Amino acid sequence: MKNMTYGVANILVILILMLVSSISSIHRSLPEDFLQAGHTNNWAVLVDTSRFWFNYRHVANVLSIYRSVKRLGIPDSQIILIIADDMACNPRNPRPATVFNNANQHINVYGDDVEVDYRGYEVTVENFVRLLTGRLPPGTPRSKQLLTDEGSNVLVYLTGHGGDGFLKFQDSEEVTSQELADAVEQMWQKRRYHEMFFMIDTCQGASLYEKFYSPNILAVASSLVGEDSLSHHVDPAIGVYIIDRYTYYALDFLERVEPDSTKTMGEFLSVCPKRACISTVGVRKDLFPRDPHKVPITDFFGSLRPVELTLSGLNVTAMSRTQNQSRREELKRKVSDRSLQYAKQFPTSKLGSS
Amino acid sequence: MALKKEETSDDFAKVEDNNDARRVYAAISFVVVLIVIGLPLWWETTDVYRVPLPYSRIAALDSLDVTLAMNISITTLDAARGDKLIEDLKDILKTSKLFQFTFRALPLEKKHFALAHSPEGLESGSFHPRKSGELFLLEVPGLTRFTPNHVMVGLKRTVYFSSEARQERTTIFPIFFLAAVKLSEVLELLLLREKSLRQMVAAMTTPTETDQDRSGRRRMPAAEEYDIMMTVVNPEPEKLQIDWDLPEAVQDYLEPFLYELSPLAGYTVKSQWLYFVTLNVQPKLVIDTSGFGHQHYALAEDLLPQIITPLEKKLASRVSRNPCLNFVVYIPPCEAAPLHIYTRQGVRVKGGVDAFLSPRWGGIVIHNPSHMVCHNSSVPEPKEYSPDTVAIMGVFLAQLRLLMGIPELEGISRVGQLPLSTVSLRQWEFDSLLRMRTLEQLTSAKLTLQSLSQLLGKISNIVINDAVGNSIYQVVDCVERAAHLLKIGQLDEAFNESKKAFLSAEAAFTDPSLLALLYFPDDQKYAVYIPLFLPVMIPVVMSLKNICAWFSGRMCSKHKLKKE
Repeated sequence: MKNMTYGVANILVILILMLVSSISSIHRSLPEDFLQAGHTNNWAVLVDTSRFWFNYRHVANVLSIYRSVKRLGIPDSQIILIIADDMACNPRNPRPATVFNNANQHINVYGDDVEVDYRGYEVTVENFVRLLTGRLPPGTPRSKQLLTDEGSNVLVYLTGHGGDGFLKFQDSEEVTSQELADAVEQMWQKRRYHEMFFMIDTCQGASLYEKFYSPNILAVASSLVGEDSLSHHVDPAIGVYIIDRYTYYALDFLERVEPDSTKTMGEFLSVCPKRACISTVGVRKDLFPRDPHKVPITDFFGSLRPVELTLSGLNVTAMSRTQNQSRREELKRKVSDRSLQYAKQFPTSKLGSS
Repeated sequence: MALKKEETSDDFAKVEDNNDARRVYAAISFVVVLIVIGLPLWWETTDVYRVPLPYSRIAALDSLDVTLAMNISITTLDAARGDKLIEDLKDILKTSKLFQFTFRALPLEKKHFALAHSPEGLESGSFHPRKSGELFLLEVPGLTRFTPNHVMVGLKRTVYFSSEARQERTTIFPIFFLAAVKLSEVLELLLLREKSLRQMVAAMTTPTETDQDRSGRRRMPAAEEYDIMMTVVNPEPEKLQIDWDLPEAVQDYLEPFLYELSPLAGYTVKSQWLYFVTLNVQPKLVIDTSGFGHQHYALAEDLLPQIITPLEKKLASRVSRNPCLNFVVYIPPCEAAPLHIYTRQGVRVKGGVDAFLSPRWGGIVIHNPSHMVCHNSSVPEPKEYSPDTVAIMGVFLAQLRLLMGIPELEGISRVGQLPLSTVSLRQWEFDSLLRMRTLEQLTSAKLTLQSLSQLLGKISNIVINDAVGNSIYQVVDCVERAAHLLKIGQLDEAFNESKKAFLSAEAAFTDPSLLALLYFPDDQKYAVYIPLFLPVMIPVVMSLKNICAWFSGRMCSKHKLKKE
């Protein structure tokens, strides 16, 4: 008798525990729906911080990511490509006007429709920080500005030579992880991104994302502090290393993604295990509120805008012709008081300019 | 002999004294030049030019009380009902955190109803409030003759309600008139939209906790000027020639509407035609089994986002920095016509309008060429077709209203709106837009200021030049003035002040001179100057001790001489 009551009590306790855990899991699933609110547009900032012929692989890295991102839908007007652009027309290039990312030379990632926004000696830390914070001089062309808003998901890809806490820009200057974190915080203060995916393929890359303190950032690096990122293979016909390991495997994954794919960011973050990459891939998820395994990869790499159906139009009659004519004449009279002047050659905004 | 020795030793002592004095005076001059003059001079010349900022006023903005004053006038058939109605409304609306209501009872005048035979006739009366932000509630005795609704919202700032004298018991409060309950619902959900406004402000201040609601996500962000790009896409111009005067359609339908909106922001309208551009999606063929043998093509709702992405590459819509709204008309060729949109449930969209919009981007209309033109085999190609301007521009106007933030009617039972017949806005819609933009610009300016003051306070060596300083002072002044104007009910002036504050705040924040990289951080400053000055300063500082000792020695010996 005693045994039975003991057994019944046990069963009751187990049932209660199951009920409590199911209730708490219901509560845990609410935030995902709440955060489905989502983004409205996608931007990409792709940066190669090194120059010179022996850093061919960095340019190939960035251009391959550029091709993938373009193929998946982000238009050129929303991609900021920052490379030194000294590979394709380099006198040491045995295949002029091309940049390949594979020894079999199947794809020319340079192509004839690449749009480089910051090239040559414009790739400086100052320009990079100005681009991120939005403090560009008035008169900067629209293609060189990051015109994101609070609904934009931004993909930031950096590659080059780095170290513990810094990234080298073109052999003459460095950007520290603290400066980068401050620039991203300035972006957050002005609500210039909705979510950010930060990818970095350099030696000791994980040190660059360690200082971030703004919300909604998911970061991945090709190696942890103290490890070097290694390149993948040499192309004997060109004579230099042609692509880095982490980017090679990341591209392998991206090539199988289509614009309507259901692959998730969680799968992307686990691409390139240690046996393939030799260095350990570092991931920073604590600033990102969603579970990466539930985030579709097209949230950052593709560009699908949300859509609402319009079910009816307004039933309007136009203003009568005479009324319209008189209104336009009145406007013309107001305008014709100004003396004639030349139209601006490059239309720029009046914000911040004299 | 001994005397001479004494004399020489005395002289020697005096010379020694003089030498000592000269040495000490020389040391004192070094000290004066280096420490007293040099150090402050160095500090002054390496100081960064910073205009003093009103940090305390900026911090006080955080607790700035933003409330909007609303004047509502009421006219009823008899004064007692009017007073009871005012009391009821005050009771229901007293929990409002954003609005301060002032109710007034106006006496009934026969002239209100003299010429009116319908609610539309009442619209031409002269009793409508002219000032932005005011509302007028008018009891119309015979309203139920024209419409089943109890409340009709007019085209100007008036709401008509019927004379239903029935009393209703609500859950919390005792007996209210049915009219009071319905009117408060109309005010909250439609005209004032307090919940939407508060959610917008919360989403801006704490974006990690609150999100914008549906209309907030769809609405274009506040800006000084917008670009509107109208595009006509004709994929096969050799088979179908479109005969449409697009500039005239824009002049007739779009420009009057934009003229009404012009106090809020400037607009630039551009138009273009795109040929040989396809939709890049495969619609499905649906054969009509109802007996007519017509077929049409079905475009699933899930495929719609994939239309926008490749189309955007060709629109070339961004030549200026202003936010751009894109309106695209797609006219399918006869072989692919008619093309209809199917919802996610697999049902064709009712209403004859195949259109969709994308929040903060624009809208796309699919306009099918008419059956007669396509199936007229006697006409050689290219077949000519004139699109229906009224239908297309009607859809664009509906989409433009949603994208600019004009609220759509939520389904409240027994409440209707007078339908729009011209392209202008309803006046209370314009007021609602003014309120929303004012709050948005005020909140944005406040947040920008706070973030800027935090940045400039933390990094003490960023130069704050005069332009930035003036902008910041202007923003603080404008924000305080705008809040004051909102409190006394001057909506138009409050909007203008908030716009100035918003634009100045943006100019100050994005000023290119505010870059920490351009100026030396403190540790670099010391690293440069210490190796230069430290070797010089060490002997000077050490000699201070000797100077003090010498002076105290002199004082002692003088003392001794005096005593003797």
